[in-house]
Amino acid sequence: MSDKTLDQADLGKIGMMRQVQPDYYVMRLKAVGGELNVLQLARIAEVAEKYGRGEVHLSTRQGVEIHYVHRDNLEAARLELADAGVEMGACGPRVRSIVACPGAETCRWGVIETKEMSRELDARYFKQETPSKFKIAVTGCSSNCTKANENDIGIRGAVEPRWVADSCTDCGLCISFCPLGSIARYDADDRQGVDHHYGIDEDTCINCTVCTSLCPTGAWSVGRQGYTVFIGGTLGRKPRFASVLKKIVESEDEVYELVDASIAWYRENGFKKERFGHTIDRIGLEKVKEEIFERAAQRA
Amino acid sequence: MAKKAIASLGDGELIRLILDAGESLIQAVRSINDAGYRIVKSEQLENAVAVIVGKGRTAGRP
Repeated sequence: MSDKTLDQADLGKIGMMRQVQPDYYVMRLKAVGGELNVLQLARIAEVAEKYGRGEVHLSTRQGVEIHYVHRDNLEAARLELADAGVEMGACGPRVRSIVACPGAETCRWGVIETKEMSRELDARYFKQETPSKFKIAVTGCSSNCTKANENDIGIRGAVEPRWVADSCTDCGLCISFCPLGSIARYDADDRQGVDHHYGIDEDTCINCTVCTSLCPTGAWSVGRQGYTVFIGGTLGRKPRFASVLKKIVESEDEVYELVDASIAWYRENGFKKERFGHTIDRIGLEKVKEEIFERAAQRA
Repeated sequence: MAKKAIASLGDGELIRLILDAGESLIQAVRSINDAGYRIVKSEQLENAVAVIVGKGRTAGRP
């Protein structure tokens, strides 16, 4: 069977891509949230040795690829991998593997449980057809290790700081360590009966955890906590930094409602091969956000 | 050098440190807090921050 008789689009749906070398393919494997257990790793090594060239490539999105697999061996390799619970990834115009950092499970700075969320997102959205490739990343805090802002949908752990007057010793440190310079000190505030108060510029605040975790007296405490949802990030030939869809989403259910609505909106409005972010630019961010929120409200 | 100076602090004693601004400041404050010391006052300088550090939860309190 030659390359010409194999449907390349169908192979792309199951993570197999033709290489430059005739008759050889790349097998793209899925690692949800970047996780593979040792049994899966061992099987990947066996298959790479048996059907590839004894090596793997680690992708920028936490994937594992086996290169140099002959087209006649693709199905056998796929079945041997599947037997150990290794699933194929995805190529082409569809939702790709979900990437995630370790998050609150093991990271000191993690605000959210990223692994659990990445598994849920995988179950709900992986391989859904979209006008162009669609990438989702979950990141536990503002360190942004999985680069939420470069993905079509980025979900980042977020806290909303709240100033507690009784705990404040007016040391002023928060003004210095706020990465965005969002904190300011104000003189007498009769509302609270103190001679000073500290406030946050909500427009510039990125809901990171620096003030709430570093204030020596806990005067900056956590008010609301949840997720910042970003839309429309992309790299490639025309990079675009993601836009904030909603700064603090408190419930996980609402995150999924917004992701549902975003993907559904993109399917209806995106041109073929147009990335989500470029569709947003073409139509206008505020209009897009309004339509996504309307759609999410109808689905809730 | 800063770590040694802090480590020699007795209860209630204070020391003034000059820390680089930016990400270095965040890391330094984390380390100070994690080690159980307390920042009681800070002063913004040019590209740096001066902090008064004490030992224990009551450092710097009258």
